[in-house]
Amino acid sequence: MCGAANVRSDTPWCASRVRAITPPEIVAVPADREQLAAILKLATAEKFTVTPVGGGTKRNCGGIARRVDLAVSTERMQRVIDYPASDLTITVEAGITIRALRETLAQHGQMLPLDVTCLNDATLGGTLAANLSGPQRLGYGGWRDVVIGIQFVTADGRLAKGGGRVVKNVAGYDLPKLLIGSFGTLGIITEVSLKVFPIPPATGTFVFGFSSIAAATEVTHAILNSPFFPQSLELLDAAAGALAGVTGTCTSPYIVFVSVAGPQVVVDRASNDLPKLLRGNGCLFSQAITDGSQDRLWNSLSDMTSAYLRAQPAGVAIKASLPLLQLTAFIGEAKQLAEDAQLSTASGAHAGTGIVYQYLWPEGADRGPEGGDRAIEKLPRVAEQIVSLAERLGGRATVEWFPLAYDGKLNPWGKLGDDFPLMQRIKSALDPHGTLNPSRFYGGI
Amino acid sequence: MHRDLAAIVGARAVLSQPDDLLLYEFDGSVDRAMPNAVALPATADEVVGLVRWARQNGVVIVPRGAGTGLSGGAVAVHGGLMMGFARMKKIVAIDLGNQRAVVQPGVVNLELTVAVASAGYYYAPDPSSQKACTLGGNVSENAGGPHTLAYGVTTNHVLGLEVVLPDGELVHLGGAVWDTPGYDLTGLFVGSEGTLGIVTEITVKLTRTSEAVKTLLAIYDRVDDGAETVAEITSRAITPSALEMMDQITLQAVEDATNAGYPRDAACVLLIELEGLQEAVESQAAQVQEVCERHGARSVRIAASEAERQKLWAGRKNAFGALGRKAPSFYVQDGVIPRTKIPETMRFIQQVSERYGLAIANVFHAGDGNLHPNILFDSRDAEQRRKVVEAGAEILRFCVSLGGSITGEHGVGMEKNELMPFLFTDVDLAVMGQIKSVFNPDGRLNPGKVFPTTKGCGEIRIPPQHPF
Ligand SMILES: Cc1cc2nc3c(=O)[nH]c(=O)nc-3n(C[C@H](O)[C@H](O)[C@H](O)COP(=O)(O)OP(=O)(O)OC[C@H]3O[C@@H](n4cnc5c(N)ncnc54)[C@H](O)[C@@H]3O)c2cc1C
Repeated sequence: MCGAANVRSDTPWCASRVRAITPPEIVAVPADREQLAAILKLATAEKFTVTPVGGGTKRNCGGIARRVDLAVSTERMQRVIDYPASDLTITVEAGITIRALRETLAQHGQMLPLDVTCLNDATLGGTLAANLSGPQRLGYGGWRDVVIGIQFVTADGRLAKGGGRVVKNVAGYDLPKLLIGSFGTLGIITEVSLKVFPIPPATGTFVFGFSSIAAATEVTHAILNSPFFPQSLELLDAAAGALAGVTGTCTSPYIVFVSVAGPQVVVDRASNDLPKLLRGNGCLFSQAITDGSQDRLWNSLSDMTSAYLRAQPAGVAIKASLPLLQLTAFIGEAKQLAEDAQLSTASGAHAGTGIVYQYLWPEGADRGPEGGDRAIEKLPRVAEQIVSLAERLGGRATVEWFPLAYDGKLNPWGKLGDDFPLMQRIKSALDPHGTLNPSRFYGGI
Repeated sequence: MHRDLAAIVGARAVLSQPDDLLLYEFDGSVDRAMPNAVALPATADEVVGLVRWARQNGVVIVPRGAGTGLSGGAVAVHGGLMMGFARMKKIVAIDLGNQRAVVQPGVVNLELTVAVASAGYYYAPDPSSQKACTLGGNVSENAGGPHTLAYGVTTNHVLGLEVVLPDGELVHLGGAVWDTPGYDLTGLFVGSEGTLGIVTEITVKLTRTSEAVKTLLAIYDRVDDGAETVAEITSRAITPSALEMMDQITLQAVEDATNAGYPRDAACVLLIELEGLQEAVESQAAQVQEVCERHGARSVRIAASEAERQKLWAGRKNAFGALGRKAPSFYVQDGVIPRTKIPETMRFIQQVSERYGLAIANVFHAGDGNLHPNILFDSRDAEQRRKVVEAGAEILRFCVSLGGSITGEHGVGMEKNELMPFLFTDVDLAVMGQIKSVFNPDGRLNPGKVFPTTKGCGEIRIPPQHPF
């Protein structure tokens, strides 16, 4: 179907990329969506289970599949299909890496403002199937706001699409919305059309340090209610700052990072006016960065989750989404829950959108062979408590990243909503045999 | 029927006399059909009651907001029960600290903005019909508006929905926060044109008003020059919050109706708005002015006062109404093209106008390539009715040939459902049909909409006579 050379038997490759108790031994590498469709037709006929693989960076992300028979890699599907730069749109194949996509756009002074973790290896398809976003979501929105069309192959091998290549379009159901964040359970994304954005002429980054979470959130709210519309507004505790490697910039217990972009006059005014918002707010530290070192700083902030997972392979990352006014309570109480159980924790919040990454990992005595068992006992319990905390505060949360070791010991999904049965019905309508990524998704879908 | 319905919503909230139903026979499009009854529920519970009753009795349901839709979405093409939301128009909660509001579906778009304006907030999607259309209708059509160029359309501002499914089940999609776990059913639901469920409550995001706003009016003697300006503003990455075009027929109609201060003799104008920090607005205004002048603008005027600005916008937002004076009827198209293709598309529309002998007035969201050619005609003339539909389809076919779409914001409804195969393959439509079956398995909710009903690809339906 895709040529013998493009079907490999490669157990280690599969085991290091596919999140399954029994990973596949075989990986197929189709050259295009027609080949991919033929593979899925065969899989349906033979009742194989299939997992799509992009950069293989999400092996610790999402639910865990039981048994997967075949991996399908999108590594040969990296073409730029259509890039009418002056229309500010691009259409590319889903296997392109986020880095390559950024480089293509940068040649035209444009950008995709979705900063994602694992930038180097992550593919577009995988990242949007996982619905990962980062700091600039505040200024530009998430995948649901920039994707204008998606082509995909259905579980039974049909070529389908939704949306198109223009920035405004309401013809037919918005299938792209359904596929974003669907974790490869409804179809395999093969081609994506996106809105892209001009790189702003000037950008300024402002770093403020505080002694308490309350003082920090008071300032983030003041910034959100100021005339500035920041691109990004991040709030890290010192532990998260250390994970991201940004404590060289500021060592305060809570650090706020703001970026403001536009014509130079806007950055100048922010340099002048933003520090004024801090008055009387217990600010320990204030710095403006307007040179090239900003990029490095924001890359570190965007990549915080993968840096954390490398440093703490036994740790979990909870993604909580909260009403803005509940950030203080959530960050404070989550820290308390972790400390009570003698676990280490760190909070990295996108303070303008209410999305918080709460990291939780075993420390000192709970590491190593014996301590590991203890951690396996208590860490899931605390993670679930933090998820419930988010729900109690009017938000939602899941344990987005956790190692295979917690399989069966952790409910990563929180309380299922009353829309869950509808989701199950959508899954069975589009993938009646459970071919794609079984039990990898919300509630075990 | 009347008695059953009255038992659920009260006798005063049911209409079934032919005279009363006349008002519910059409929306803003050219289609019309009579429902058997109209019920106006006051609560989600009453909606559930009506839906259960309809299910037991095998009656089709057509939800209806203000009936300003432009694709026949709220027209009861198969009769049945029409459900109106005039009694569900409460703003349930405003939560400025969290930048959210919760509303019932019958709340009129502009009322939400008015309710939060004094606090420095607004609801960003602003269809030109915003004084009349409802948020429930906006959600169902995924409505846009002049300022959605910068701020996004309805779907970018809706976080959560309470909906009643055709089997009477009430469920909550999304929530009060972004990224609720699971599939993005809110995103799927917005723009589904009342075919997946009935919206009974909506949670939206509120946006802070900008510090400064500047409105420019660029006046041209040639449509080409205005169109080229749009292409260059986009490609130079200047980002206005609104970028609208009106051509001469529209300008004259608008001036006859509202005296907004537009030139009657121009070939076209661009209405350009810039928002943001004072400094950013100043610097962008200078750039825009330069681009307009370089492309041959006869003059570029900056609204000197808020009153002048409001007058220009009132003229623009009432343009459709004003066109009513130019001909007994008009048929508005909603095609989308890549923004840099506006010049050639405007020339094509001009050719179509000449070939069919029908005047076409253009008033549209140029910044995102969303055209609104209004084909003027006399609906009493059968020959003109036929020609209008053909001319419209020809324009949409051209949009699709440039990589565009048949509808940018008005929806497919019962007006363009037969044109869906221009854009989508049988498989695409089958997948959408599978989704529809999950929610609306027997098709009793808003039947005859969105999906093609005929086998022949792209077959065109001639709308019935419609007295304007
Ligand atoms: C002068 C004029 C200017 C316009 N300008 C714009 C514009 O700039 N941008 C734009 O996008 N549109 C515009 N429109 C079109 C129209 O106003 C929008 O589509 C609007 O969203 C329709 O809202 P409505 O309340 O009138 O809905 P209706 O026309 O009553 O219904 C529209 C659809 O929504 C469904 N529906 C209504 N309420 C519910 C509910 N509670 N649950 C489920 N389904 C429901 C109906 O079944 C129907 O399919 C304009 C129309 C006019 C007449």
